[in-house]
Amino acid sequence: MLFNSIEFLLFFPAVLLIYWLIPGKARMYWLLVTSYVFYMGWNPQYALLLLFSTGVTWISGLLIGWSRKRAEQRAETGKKPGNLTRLWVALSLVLNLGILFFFKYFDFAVDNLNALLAATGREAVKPAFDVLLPVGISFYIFQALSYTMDVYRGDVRVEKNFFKYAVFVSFFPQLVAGPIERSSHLLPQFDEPKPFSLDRVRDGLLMMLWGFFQKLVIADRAAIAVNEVFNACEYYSGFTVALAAVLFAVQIYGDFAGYSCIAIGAGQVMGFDLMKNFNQPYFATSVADFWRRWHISLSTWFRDYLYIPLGGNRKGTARKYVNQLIVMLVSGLWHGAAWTYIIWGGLNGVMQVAGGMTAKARKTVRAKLGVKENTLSTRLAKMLVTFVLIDLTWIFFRANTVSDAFYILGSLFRGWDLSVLTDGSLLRLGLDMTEWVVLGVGVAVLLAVGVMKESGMQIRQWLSGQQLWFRWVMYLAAIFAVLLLGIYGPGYDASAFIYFQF
Amino acid sequence: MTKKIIRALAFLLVLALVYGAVDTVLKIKTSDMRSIVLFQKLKPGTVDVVFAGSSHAGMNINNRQIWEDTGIPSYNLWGGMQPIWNTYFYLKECLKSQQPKVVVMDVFMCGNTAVYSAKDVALKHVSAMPKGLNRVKMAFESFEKWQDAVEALWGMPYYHSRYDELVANDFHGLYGWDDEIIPTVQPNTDYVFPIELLDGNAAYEPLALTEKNEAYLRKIADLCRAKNVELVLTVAPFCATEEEYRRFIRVEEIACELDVPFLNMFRTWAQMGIDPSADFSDIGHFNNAGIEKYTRVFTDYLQENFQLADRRGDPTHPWYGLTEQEAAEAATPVYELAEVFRGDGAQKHVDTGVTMFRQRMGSWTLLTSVDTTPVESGDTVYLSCFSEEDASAYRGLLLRQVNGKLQLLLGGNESVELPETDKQIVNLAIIKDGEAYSVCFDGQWACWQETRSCAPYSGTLLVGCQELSAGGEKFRFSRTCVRDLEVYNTAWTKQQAEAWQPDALPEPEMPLGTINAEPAEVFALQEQFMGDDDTYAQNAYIDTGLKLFESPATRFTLAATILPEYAPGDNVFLSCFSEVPGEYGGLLVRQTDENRINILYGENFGLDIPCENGQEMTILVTKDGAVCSVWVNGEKLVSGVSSSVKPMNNTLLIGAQHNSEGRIFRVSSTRVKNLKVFAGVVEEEALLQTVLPELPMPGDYVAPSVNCALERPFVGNGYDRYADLGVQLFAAEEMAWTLDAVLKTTPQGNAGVYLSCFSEVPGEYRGLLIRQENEELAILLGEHGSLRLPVENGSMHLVITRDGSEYAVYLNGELAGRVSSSCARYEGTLLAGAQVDEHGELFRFSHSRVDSLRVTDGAMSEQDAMEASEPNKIESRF
Repeated sequence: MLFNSIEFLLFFPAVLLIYWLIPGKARMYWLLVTSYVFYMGWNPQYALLLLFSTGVTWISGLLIGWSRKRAEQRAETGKKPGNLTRLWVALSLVLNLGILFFFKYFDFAVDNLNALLAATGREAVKPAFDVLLPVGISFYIFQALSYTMDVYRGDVRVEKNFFKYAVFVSFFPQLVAGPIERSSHLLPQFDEPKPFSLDRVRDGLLMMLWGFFQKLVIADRAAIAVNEVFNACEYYSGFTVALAAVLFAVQIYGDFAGYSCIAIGAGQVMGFDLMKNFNQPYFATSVADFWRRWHISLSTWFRDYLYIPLGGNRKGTARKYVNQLIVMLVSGLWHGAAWTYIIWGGLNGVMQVAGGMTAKARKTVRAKLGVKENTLSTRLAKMLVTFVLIDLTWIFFRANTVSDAFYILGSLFRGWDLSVLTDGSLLRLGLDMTEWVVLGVGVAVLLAVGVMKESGMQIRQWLSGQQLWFRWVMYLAAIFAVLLLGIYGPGYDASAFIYFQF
Repeated sequence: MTKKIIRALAFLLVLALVYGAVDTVLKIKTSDMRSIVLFQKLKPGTVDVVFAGSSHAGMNINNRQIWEDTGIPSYNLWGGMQPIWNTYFYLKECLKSQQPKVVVMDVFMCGNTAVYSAKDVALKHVSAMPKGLNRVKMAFESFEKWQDAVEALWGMPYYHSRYDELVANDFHGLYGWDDEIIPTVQPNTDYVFPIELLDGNAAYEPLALTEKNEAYLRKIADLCRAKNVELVLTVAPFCATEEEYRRFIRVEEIACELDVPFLNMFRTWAQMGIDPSADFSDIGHFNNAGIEKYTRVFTDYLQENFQLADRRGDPTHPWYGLTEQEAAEAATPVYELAEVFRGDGAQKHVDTGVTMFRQRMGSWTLLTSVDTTPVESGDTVYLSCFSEEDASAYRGLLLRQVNGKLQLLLGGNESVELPETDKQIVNLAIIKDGEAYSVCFDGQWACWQETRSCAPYSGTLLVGCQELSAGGEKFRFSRTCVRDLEVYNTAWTKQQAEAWQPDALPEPEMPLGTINAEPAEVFALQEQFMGDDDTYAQNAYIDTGLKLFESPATRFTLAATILPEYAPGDNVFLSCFSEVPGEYGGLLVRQTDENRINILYGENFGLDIPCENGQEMTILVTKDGAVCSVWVNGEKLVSGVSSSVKPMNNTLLIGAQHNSEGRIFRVSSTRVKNLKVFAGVVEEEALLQTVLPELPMPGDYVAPSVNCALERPFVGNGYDRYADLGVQLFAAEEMAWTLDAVLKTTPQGNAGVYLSCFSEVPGEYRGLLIRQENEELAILLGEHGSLRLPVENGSMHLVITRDGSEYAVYLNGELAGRVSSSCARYEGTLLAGAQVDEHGELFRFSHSRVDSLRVTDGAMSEQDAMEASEPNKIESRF
């Protein structure tokens, strides 16, 4: 079920109520049951996949532990250790990535194969079945695989309790769109459930409210204009396209960061601490910096389990750049089975590499020009350039096809007529004047909160230090902003969170 | 901790209070929800009769009329398209506070087979219901998905975004017309929409109701029985299908079984005086005239069958005294003339529908402005509401000219002395206040509050004629001119009447030849008419637009050259003829066999003339009022025959006829070499000298190619975007093409029109229309063909082939269906995302997305079409 659905609105309070009423030891089992119910809200059959992935990684963990112990025993007795741990890791990887490939990339592979066959004049392949992408499969498979690899590396202990491990993989707040948790961080939290705390519940609910604000008020409102322009790109050019591109940057951030906030908040209400997933990414001063701030749980996953095993930066500069490119291409593919995502990932990789290669030269030029490095203006200029670069890549991410993406890129340089600002053209993108004002104010709030966080301010902490009446007014304002200004309900095509498709 | 919990609870309380206030303001408030909302405000125990059901109960019965005529307080408890289960829950709610003696339930919705309500309809009904268990149960019965029911009960998901459309009523919690003392029907109308009613007494087999409808019908009967309320079932007449009516027959059976009376008005509408051609405002609801008649039926029925008290004398009843409402009504005229009336002396008149003398003590004000120019011949009636049924009891109002001067008869056949005037146009105010009459003529009071007695007369106020008795035959059609007329149902004061100024009304269009003194050409054929022949670039028939028999007073001259060439089938040269049974008449020129031309004129008088194929003939026709003359090849065959034709709006057609319903039929392959029509009558001598020159032949018809394709995907925006492919898919009856389209579809929501090349002219619906109707894709083909496919999630690859009147539809690699449907020529072009309405204006802009569209000449073979309609994943992604 979606966080912005009526089902979740009924589900979550019910889960909470029972969660706090039952004894601490039973809570883990309750979370397991409710997490599966949550996941089965999309399609009950999907739960089998989740169970399969959970089972494979849990057993591989046990086998790795058993093999390692056996090897140690044999070593002690002077026999050849015969370590099988690599085999179990490989098996776990093959099985998990196998189902990921089958469910996510099979159609894409067949389509491309057919394109190739058609180009060479051969008959197309027709698979006898239709594959439906299970929600959040990329997230939980990555989370489960991280456990296998952590056990293999000896970073975490083998988890013998299957139920505990299963609830780690399926924990519903972050099951379908992250943050992709690490077993070392989340698993121990199931051992010692935290007692009920009104402050924590309040803070969690506020976090969720902020998430809903970002998703319903900002992202889904921006999506209306964005969808109009990107789905009918041939009708728009110049300023309108540029505006839509900027709005998509707002939309995808509001959407994804909003989801993460809801997930983190929901976890917090129940006493769980989930990892931070975003750190004001649009305040980044370089593309590499952006990737340290955007979807942190995925970036660090790729760093730990792909970039470093590939050699990281330990094998020379050239190899480092190649590794960076590989990681970003894989990241693109992870986001979706389409060339648009691969190009998006590739572009980000190229920009990172180019950034690394020209870093010294740029620094020298700046020094010769007398540009002061640590001034606000320099920082702002860097942020602006980074945002423009990232936003250009977002066009590939959002466009329906690669040809659409190039068409839109071309449109950015055509028909720059600022009269669209005054002739009512913008009111034909699906948002009327009131809606534009709401969106504008929403973005301003988002920006203001970003600035406050960037300057190190803890907003919830600051709020809790204020007078009661002020706090209540703020709480009410936030609740009614979401309730009234949010895009939800019938007549509105309950748009799924963008990141569910990954 | 305790302190924190108290604080949290206090916050929740504040939140609930603020939420309640916000919810009250944002809540949807429409006038069609007021029935159930206002019902909750009624003083308990004040309603004796409840009319329950859909709009057929709510908009057809006038509670106010019942109250005024009988003193029975009744209430219409209804909602638009309110299903039976809603009626049940509404009644349950209603019976909590009211103890009606009778519940009259309209079972119109028993004819419906929907198991759930339309979302917006259900939302309004649920929102309007008082909070409680009945509301919850109703919500779950109304929505298919439980999520929708929960959202409707919550409400906010539906109306939270109304913040930018709030009006004063929202802040005051008003639904519209809330100040009415007696809830009346919806703002009704004088608009007349003629319909046909089926004969309910014919033999119809009963047809089962849906299980849900029958179950709730029985529940309603049980509920009434339990509450000791008499239940009466009824069904108001409307333009029902046979299937619907068969379900009402089933209701009749159930009613019989339950021992509940069922007033099947389909059986009795004729006795009730309902005139389907005059008493409806649309296919389902009465207009004012119909409402009055229909309400009267219940007034009589309730009085005859139940002991219901007259509560008009009860000062404690909330409806006691209606002065405020009446004062508001007084400012609105009950009748206003829309355009200057100019009588034609033959049949033209206006029936205002206003009864002036139904109540002896009634009050009204009539204000008019008339042209006093002496009428040269014929009758001279300006206004009449005058009974001449009984020579000893002539009464009412009659304004006419006598010897070139105005005469006003008022009350019991007494004239009013009008001052002399030499003005051409004079204003006249006539005020009736009970039995006191006042007349102001040209600014002077001819009489003031003069007492005259006038026995009740139920005839209506007529302009330009009289009627013998109420609703009887009209006569004395006059060539008078009334420039303005207003009627109010209250007596005005002297000052008000003196201050009145007539409006400058538009001049009317006059029937052909009734104004022009000299004959003038009004139509001339520009090229020879070659009949229904696709090889020429010419329409299959030509509509001249001339209403030759719009009035018995029309005067015209018609000169035509025809070329007899008999062929099997229809052979109509010219027609302006009524095919309504019993009303045959007009002008019809046709060839009935190889050597005979048949001319029908006037009231179906016939004339057979020998002809020779290939030998052209000249036909001249004149009509001067009721007098017709006909010449063929210069020989006068009909000389001044008097024969009146019932007025009709059929126009003069070349090569076709109008059928009894006014639709085109008998499209013929005849040839008309020339045709001229003149308004007025050309003198015989001049007419016989009229030369009809040889006209050029029409150009050859070349069926246009339909090859076209969308360059980029089309994405509708719902308000002004469309794509015109510029090709005519129905430019000829015999065309062959293949349409290949990939539509982006989703069963949720309603994308609307995907593709259209469709005529929306009433009675001429035809062409191609592909649109989403909820979870189905409706494909209309030709004139009668249709196919409905379940909407798939994602995209639907359609290939449609047309070969003449044979269509095949392929979907995603499979044959979805074949349709055989002829289609007359239609010149509209293929559009994506919108349609063209009957006036040629774009409308129905939609949110559809067409990923690709290609039309090619020629119909693909089945094998090719199946392959072509295979879903193609590559194209849609890269």
